[in-house]
Amino acid sequence: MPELTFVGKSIIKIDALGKVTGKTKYASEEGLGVPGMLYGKVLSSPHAHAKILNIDTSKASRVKGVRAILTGKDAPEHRSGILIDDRHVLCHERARFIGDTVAAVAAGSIEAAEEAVELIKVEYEVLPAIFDPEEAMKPDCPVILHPDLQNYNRPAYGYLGFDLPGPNAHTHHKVRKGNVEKGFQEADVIIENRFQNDRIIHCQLEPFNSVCYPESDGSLTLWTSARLMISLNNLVRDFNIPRSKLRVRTSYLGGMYGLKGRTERFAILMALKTGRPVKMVYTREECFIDGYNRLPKIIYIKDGVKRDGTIVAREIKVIVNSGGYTDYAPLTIRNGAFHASQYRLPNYKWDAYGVYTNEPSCGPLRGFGNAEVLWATEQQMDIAAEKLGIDPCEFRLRNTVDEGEIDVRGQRVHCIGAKECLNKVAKCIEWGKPSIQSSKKHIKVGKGIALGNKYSLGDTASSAMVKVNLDGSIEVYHGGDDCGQGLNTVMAQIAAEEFQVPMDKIKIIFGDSARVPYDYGTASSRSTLYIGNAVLLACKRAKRMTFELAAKKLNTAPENIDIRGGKLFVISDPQKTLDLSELALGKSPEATGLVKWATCLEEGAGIFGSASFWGRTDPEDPETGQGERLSMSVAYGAQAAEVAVDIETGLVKILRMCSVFDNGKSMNPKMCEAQIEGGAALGIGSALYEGFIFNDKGKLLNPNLHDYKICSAINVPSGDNMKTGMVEYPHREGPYGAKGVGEAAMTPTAPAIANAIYNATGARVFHMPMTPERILQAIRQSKNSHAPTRK
Amino acid sequence: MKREIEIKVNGITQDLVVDPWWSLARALREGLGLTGTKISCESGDCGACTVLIDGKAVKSCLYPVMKAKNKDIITIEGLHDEQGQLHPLQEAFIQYFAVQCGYCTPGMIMVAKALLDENPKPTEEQVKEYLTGNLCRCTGYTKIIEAVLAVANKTQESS
Repeated sequence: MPELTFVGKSIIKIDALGKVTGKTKYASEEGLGVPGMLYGKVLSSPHAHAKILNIDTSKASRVKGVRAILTGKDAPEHRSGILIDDRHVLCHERARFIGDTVAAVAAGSIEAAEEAVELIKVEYEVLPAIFDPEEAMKPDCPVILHPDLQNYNRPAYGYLGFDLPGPNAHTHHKVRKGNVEKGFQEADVIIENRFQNDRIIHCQLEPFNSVCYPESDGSLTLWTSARLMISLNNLVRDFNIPRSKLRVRTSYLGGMYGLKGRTERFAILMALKTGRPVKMVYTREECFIDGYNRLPKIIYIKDGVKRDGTIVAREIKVIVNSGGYTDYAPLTIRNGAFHASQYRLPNYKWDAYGVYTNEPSCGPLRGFGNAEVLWATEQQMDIAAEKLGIDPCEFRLRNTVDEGEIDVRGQRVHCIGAKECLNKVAKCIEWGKPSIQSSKKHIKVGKGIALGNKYSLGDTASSAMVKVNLDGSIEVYHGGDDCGQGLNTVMAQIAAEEFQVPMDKIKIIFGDSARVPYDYGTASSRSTLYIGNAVLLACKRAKRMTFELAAKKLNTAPENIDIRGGKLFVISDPQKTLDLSELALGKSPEATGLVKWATCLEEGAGIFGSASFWGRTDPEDPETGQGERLSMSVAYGAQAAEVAVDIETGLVKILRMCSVFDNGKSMNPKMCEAQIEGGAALGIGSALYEGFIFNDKGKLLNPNLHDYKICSAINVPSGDNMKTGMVEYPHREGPYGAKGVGEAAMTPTAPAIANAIYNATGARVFHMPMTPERILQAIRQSKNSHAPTRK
Repeated sequence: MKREIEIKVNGITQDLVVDPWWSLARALREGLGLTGTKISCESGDCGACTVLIDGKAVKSCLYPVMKAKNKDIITIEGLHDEQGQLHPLQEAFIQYFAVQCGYCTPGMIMVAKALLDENPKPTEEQVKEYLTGNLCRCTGYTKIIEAVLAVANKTQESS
C-alpha cells in the first residue's frame, strides 16, 4: 500500500473545536425559546400490568396553555416494532410495565404540560404481573402479556421463532454443531454453571429529546437526539407515512452506545394533532424508565474439556427477560451466539429464548448480546483452565481459531488478531508474575484476562455523495451518525487522502435525511467499514471525473493524471499542473462575471461522485444457525485487569488495565485508543456498579445518576495504568483494510475483572454487577479465601 | 409571574426576564442563548452544567437564577481570552483527544479550570478526585486527565 498522508494518522477531530467552545448545537438546543413552541410531556403507567379502562382528561384539559391531550385512541391503530410489531405509540387498552406510556400532553409551557399530566385520571384494572423470566417462560404461566402474539406482524423475524416454550416466549434462536452429548462423553472434565446479569442502561449525557415542526406542505421536520436513518426507518413505520413526508435532522449526538430515542413519536403525534411545533424532552428519570436497557440474561452453560487443554463441547441455554416489548431483543438474543466465533468448538449447542415480562423494554447496548454471554463463557474458560492445571491465557491461545478456519457458525474466519491481542495484554500486565500483595491483610490483589469479540452486521447498505466545489473544496454527504466516535473525522480523512487536499478543504454534510443518500445508519460498529467504503468509492468516482476533465485540458489521458496538495499534474510530465479549483471552476478562470459562470456550466463544474456499499451476508439455517457468511467483520480483542479487593467490604479497585484490539487498520489511532478506553470504562461500570434495582411491584428504584452509579474519574485507571493497543490485520473488504472496533471494546472487560477478582480472592461471582454484597457473599461461599497461586 | 433580574455573565452585565423558579442553567440556555452549558441530569449528579460563580465551580442546574444577582458568572463561552484565543484547557482537550460526544466537555473544562485556579500543580490523583462530580460516558476519563495534567505541567514550566 502506498504511503498514506491522512488515513492512519491521529488527525485532530474536526468536531473538537465546536465542542470545547460550547458552540456545537445538539438537538437539545433546537427550538429553545422559539415563540409558539409547544412542550410535550407523557403520562406513564404506575402499574406493571394493567388494563386501561377509562381515561378522563377533563380536568387536565382545563389547565391554561394546554393544546392537546392524546391517548391510545389518538395514536395510530397499528402496532409497530423492529422484529415483532408489538407496541403502540401510546398504550391501547393495556400497560405492560411501570413507565409504559399512556397519554401525552402538549402545552405552551413545560410547567403547564406537567400540571396537566398530573390531572389526567386513568382508571386501571390492575392485572397480575410477572417479573421472573424463567416463570414467565413456562407453558402454563398464568400471566400472558400479549395474548394475541400469534397474530402480530413480524417484519424481520426470520429464523427466530421456532419451538417456543410458552405464551410469553417470543424468540427462540438455535445453533447446532456436531453432537454435544458425544462431546461430553469424550470430555475429561465437565463444568456447569449459571450466570446472570442485571439490566444496565446507556446513560448518554444528552437526554432523549426531539422537536417536530409541521411544514406548510403537510410534511414534518423532526429534530432528534437519536440516530438519523434508524429514526427515519422506524418512525415511517410507526406512523405509516411516506419517507418523503418526514425529514429527520440530527446534529452531533450527545452519546449513543447502542440506542437512543422514544420522544420522537410523541413529538410527531402532538405536532400532527396541533399543527404546531412541539419540543419533547425526557427527564433523566424518564430516560431510565422508558429508555432501552441492556437485556438481562440468565445463562446456563456446560463445557466439556479434555486434559490436553482442548474444548470438546459447549452447551448453552440463555433466557432473556426482554420486558414488556421486544424492540431489538430478538436480534440481540440471536447475536449473543456470535460469542462463540473466537474458539474452536467441535460440538456446540445454543438455545436462546426471549421472554416477555412486566419489566421495562430493552434494546441494544454496546456489545449487542455478545458482551453478556462472554461474561459467562470467559469465566468458564478460567474455571476450566484451573481444573486442567493450565494457565488461563495459554488455555485460550490453544483454543483460539486461526485465519481461514471455519468457526462454530460455519463462517470462514478472516482478519483475526486474537492471539496477538492475548499475547500483548499478557505481556503488558506481566502475566505469570504474581501480583504484589498489599501490606494490609484485608486487601487481596490479583490479575485476570479475557478474550472478546464483536461481529458487525451484514445485509445492510451505506451510500455517499462527494461534490467538488468551484473553489476546489470538497463536500462529503453521508447518512451515518457521529456520536463522538469520530465518524465525520474519519470520513474527512478518507476524502482528504483520495483528493490529496488538506483536511480543512473537506466539509462533511450529515444529519439531514433530505440531503444525504440512503444509509442503514450507525450501528454494530459498521460505520467505518460500510460508510467508509461508500465514501471511498464516491471519492474515486468524483476523482475519475476530475481526472477526465483535467486530461482534456492538459492534453493527455486520464490515467496519466494524479493529484497532490490540491494540484492535478501529468504523471509523465509533472511540470504540467492544474489547480483543482481552476478545474472545478471551468475552462476560463480569467473570465469574469456571467461569462465565468457560463463556462462553468459548459465544462468543469458539477464534479461529483456517488456510490453505495452493500455488505452481503447469507441467511442462516433456522435449525442449525449455520451459514457461510453471517457477519460482515468481527473485531477481536483481549483485556487484562489487575484489581485490589477489600475482602472485608467487598470493594474493588481496578489498579491497571491493558486492552489490545484488532481493527484491521487504525484509521485514526488516537481515536481508536479513545474508543477502547471508553469501552473499558463502560465495561468496568457494567462489571462493578451498574444495575437496575426493582421493588417487588416492578418499580425501578434507582432511575437517576445518584443511585445508579456509572464510572467517575476515580473508578477508572488512568495514565500508565490504562494501556491500550491495536493490532492490524487488514480486512479484505474494509476501506484501507479497516473494520469497526467500538463495540468490541467492552466485550472482555467484565469477565477480565471477574477473573481478576477470583485470582485475588478465590471467590467467583456469577451475577453481574459484582457489587460489594455479591463479592462478600461469594467470598463467604468460597471454601478457601486465599488467593490461588499461579503456576 | 416573570421577574427581571440583572445578571453578569462572561463580563457582561445585562437584564434578563426569568421565571423565579428557573435554575441558572435554564436561564443561561433559554434566556441568554448560552447553550454551551448543558443540562443532563438536573439533580447535580453529572456536572454537565458546571459554570464558575465567583471563581468556584458550581452545578448550575441546582443553582437558583434569583441567587445569581451580583455574582460573577463565567460559562464555557467566556473562557477564551480578549483576543479570542482558546483557553489552554480548551486547546489541550482538542490536542489530547479528550472530546468525544462533547456533551460533558464544557462542564468538564469549567471544573478543570476551577481546579487549576485553586491548585495549579495537581497530582494525577488530585485531578481525578476533583473531576469526580463530572461524569463522562465516552472517554473513560483517561484522555481528559491527560489533558488537564498537560496544562498543569505547561504552567509549571513557564512559571
